[in-house]
Amino acid sequence: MKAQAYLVPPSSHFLNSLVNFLLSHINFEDPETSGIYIILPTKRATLFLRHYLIQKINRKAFFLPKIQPWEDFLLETYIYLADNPKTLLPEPAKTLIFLRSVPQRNKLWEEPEKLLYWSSLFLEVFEEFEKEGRIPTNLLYPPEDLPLQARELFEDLRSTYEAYKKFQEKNGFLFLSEVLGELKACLSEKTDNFSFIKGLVMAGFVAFREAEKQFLAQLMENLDRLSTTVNFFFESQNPPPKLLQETLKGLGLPYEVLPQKFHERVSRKTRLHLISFSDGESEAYKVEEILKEAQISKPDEIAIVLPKSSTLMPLLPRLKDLSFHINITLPFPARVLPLNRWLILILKAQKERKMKAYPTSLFLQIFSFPLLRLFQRDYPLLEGLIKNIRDLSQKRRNRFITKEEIEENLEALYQDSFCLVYRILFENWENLDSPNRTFTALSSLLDFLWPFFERESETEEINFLLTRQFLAEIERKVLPLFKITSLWEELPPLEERFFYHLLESLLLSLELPLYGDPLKGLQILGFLESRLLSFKKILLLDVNEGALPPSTNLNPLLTDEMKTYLKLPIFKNELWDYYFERLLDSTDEAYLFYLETKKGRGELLGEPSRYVLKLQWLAESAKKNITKESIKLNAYVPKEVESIKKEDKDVEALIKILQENGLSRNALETYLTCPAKFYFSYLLDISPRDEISYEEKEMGRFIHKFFESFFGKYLHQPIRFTDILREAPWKEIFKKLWLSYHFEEKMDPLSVYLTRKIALASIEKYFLYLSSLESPQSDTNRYLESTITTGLEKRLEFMANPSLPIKPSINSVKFYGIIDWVGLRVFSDDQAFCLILDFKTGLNTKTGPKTLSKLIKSTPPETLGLDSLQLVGNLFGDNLCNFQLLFYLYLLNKNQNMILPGQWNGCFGINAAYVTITDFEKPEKLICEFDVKKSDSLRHFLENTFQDYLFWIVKHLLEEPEFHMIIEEPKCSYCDYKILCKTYRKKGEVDVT
Amino acid sequence: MPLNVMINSRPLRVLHQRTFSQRLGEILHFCLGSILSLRAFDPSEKEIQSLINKALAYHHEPLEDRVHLRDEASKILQNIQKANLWKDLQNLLENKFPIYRELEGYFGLEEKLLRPDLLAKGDREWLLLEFKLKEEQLNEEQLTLYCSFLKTIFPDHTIKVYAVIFQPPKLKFIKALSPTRDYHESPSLPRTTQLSLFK
Repeated sequence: MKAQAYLVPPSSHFLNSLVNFLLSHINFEDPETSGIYIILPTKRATLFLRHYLIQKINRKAFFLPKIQPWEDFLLETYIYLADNPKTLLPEPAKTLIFLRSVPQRNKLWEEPEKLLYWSSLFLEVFEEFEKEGRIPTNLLYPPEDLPLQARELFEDLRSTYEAYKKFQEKNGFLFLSEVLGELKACLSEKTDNFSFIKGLVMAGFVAFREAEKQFLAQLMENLDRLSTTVNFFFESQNPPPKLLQETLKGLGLPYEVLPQKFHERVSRKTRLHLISFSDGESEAYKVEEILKEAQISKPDEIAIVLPKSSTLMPLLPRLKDLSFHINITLPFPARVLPLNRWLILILKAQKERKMKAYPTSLFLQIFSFPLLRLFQRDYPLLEGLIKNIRDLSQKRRNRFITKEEIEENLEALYQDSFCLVYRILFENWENLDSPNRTFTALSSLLDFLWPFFERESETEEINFLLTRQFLAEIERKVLPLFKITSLWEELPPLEERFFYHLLESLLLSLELPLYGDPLKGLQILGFLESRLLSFKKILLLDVNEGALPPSTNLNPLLTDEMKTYLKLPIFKNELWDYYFERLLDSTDEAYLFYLETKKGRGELLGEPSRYVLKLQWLAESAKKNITKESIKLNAYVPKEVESIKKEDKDVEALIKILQENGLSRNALETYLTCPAKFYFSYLLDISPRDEISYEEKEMGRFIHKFFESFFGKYLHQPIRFTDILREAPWKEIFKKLWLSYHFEEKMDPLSVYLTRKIALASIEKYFLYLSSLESPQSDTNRYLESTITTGLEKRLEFMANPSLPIKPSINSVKFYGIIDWVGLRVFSDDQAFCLILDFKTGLNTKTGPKTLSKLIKSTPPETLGLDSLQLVGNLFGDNLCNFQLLFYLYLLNKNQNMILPGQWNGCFGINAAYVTITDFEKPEKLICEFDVKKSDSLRHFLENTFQDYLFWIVKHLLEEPEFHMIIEEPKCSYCDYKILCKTYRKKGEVDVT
Repeated sequence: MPLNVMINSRPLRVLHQRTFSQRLGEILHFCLGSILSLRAFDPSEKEIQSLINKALAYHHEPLEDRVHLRDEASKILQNIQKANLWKDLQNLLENKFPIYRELEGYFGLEEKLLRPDLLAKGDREWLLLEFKLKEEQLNEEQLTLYCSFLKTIFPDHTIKVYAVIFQPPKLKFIKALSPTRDYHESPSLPRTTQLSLFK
């Protein structure tokens, strides 16, 4: 009996029309019905077909035909026909079989991890050949621009493929994607193959690859011999598109339009809405708006079709207030899951491990990963342990950290918890040089996660469900690979790094097959999943080039040019054109969302899809209106807050700070820079995120310590730098100090070498500069006679009584600071200057002598407010460059006897400078010249007006009703509290979690 | 309100959700169903192994317990062949034709999809066999449902339900329902208005 094909218009409701046909041709009360096979392309279509069939069969009880997706049919048939079916392996095992099939010669095996990269690409090449029913051929002259490894693999393509298949044959392995090939082999051996099929319906297919066509031809021939009825149903108008015509011709199928009596409904025009949006939020917002008014009583009411599965994540939060269930059927990339990222970090730590020492930053990232806190209930000491380890590493600031170092310094209470967690996250993963060890490491982690998943097994929260699916995929697809011994025999010796790379590539490539219940609630599905289905309303998102039609997978081995060399077919977009048109024809109402973007400007999506442009053009030609809407950013953007209201409790806290702790130079500068930053830092006491290994800070500390040690040798003694340079006593001090800092534990060897060289050279250059001051200068004959150090790392403080009225009234305020160096510079003209030096590392450090002159002549503003604060800040120079030195001079003035007994009020001038020893040209940035007159006006300012400025700041601090947020780039970019501040500006509250 | 998502969870070994017994039961279902549907009551060892391999082929991951499963299934099937159960099954299925395996039915009165393990047609009689690894796994309610389902379609036939227990091998009669009406038409077409199967 010859097969027959029917064309079913998509607008007639394909599946229901098919059901109508089946109802008139099948006796559903006869159990022979179970021998009728109805094969569809997707599992979802089979479920819907069964659902419609059940709805329409007007019987109390009946038998159903075998409704199967194509893949299941192939597998079942293969198992039926094969005497000893092969063992189905998970897809990732292909990589290992490929690797062992590659010739073990040349450079290919020098870097096995690179081979991993190539394996996935070459496996796609194999698959293309298999779909065409062909064996890959060697490419004698592969393109020159391909890397050497790829070229070598192409030259041996056939032998690699043959070795690949031979291994599978020998071990009885098979992959799901290769079942068709095996089936063909079985068919040739048996004649009475398909007697178990009492009738066959192939519904909803469009195009077949060569291998599928060959199988179908054989199947149809077999069934023809058995006089079994075979019918094909294609979703198409008449005449069918070119693609379908080729299929019909290839299968030798006569076709006719399905008689009208079987059509579920008459053809009608789809109501189309084109919605352009500017960003993902707007798109999701509009989707939510449409769905809010929806009622979903049947499974084919509404579907959201996502050509790009990444749109799922921004969409889901928008759907949480809907009353109906949501079913998701999409391949979801596992790499975005937190657990996957944690595993990748664990592997990265192993790759960067040196012996038993781990990079400190990675170590901390793994230990403080939020997922670990899920186990707080099972391991109550975890939180404390994490904090302890963090504190330890911040104290030591080493680049690498070992278990022993932590154990030595960890409190006894946390030792056991630490050992357990360390073993699971680090020790287990060390020395993964065999599949057994890899299996053990991965299994141990899964066993560790077990208590949580057992406890939460009823949870329906989406992140939990996704993580659970991810674990299931690891169990199904990754773990078993390491237990199949034949996969690992006779491979070249593999080092640890291979296993880390292998695991990493397996984890990153995992896609989670999410299956919901398609017969309930709102459906969210991928584009291809929508085949054959007819929904009343479709929301088709991301109708942009790159998504629809999709951009082809960038396999450099399967470009059009390569396919020509390999004689593989090149497909354009006919299939996508077909699917898009049938989707629109199948629905009553379609909303098409597309990103409005100019060519090449869309980051995630290309310009609006050609399908959208075609629809617009067709509508215009037919002078029909097509509903168009443009959604601009419709998300609610709250007005940003600009300040933090000051409460009474804040004022109380401030008074306490003033009277107990006092105000340091840093606190005052922070307030002048940004009162909100002051609030976060001093009132809320939020420590900024600290870098674990901050080389610049380490050098700064070292330089400070060096000068302290050096000048400490000469306290209260006059020195000349000319002598210092000649005798070089400082080099010994440098050497001892350098050794004591253990920089080799904090930096890589090259950085240690360079930093030492730079530090030595910088110090020498500075001393050279100072010694140059000891020679007569070109413009004057004046020169520096000697330098006397009178104080080092000196903490100075002063309890000052308010010089301005302040509310609430306060008795006094403590001001304090730590001065790096204070001493005297005695010049040849008998002028001596009291000098303060502050050592800095930043090359941009400067003072503002001109601004100082203005400041000296000014007085604090009469009013408070943000403008006044900024005015005062500006008076102290760019970035408050003069403030610190003036503050220290002020403190010094108030503590003269402590530092300079009897010497301050003499004919001494005063000065202060920042010292940046890496600035070879001008290491000292003085606040003013060594000039007595200028010095006098400075001293007068310090004794009188400066304190007024200090108390003006205090007054502002206490009396201003809010802590202003001063938003200025690029300062805000470098602020430790930028995220906190940003969050507060949007939410109006502080989130310190 | 939390997102109302329905994603079907996959069973996790970690939570021991698919046990060795479940897998063994599925393998034995397949094997015995194949043997009985072909009425091949004298399978060779090679044929038994082939059936077990086919059953294992439905489990896509290479199970660690694969060898153990194969051995256990083999042992149980051998035991069954030696036990009275085997003879009982032969007798039961004598003159029964055709025999259907795992067909799918829908019972509208209960709105349930049903998949009885084996259905055999006799003279104005339908025989339903349900396989279970152990007797305590029997669900009499489910079997009663199967009975009612068949009775609805074939009111003029006797419906007999048996449980085939693998361990220890045993055939257990569950229930029988007598015909409710007398019909004179051909039993293969319970309704004269029905068309023959698939023109």
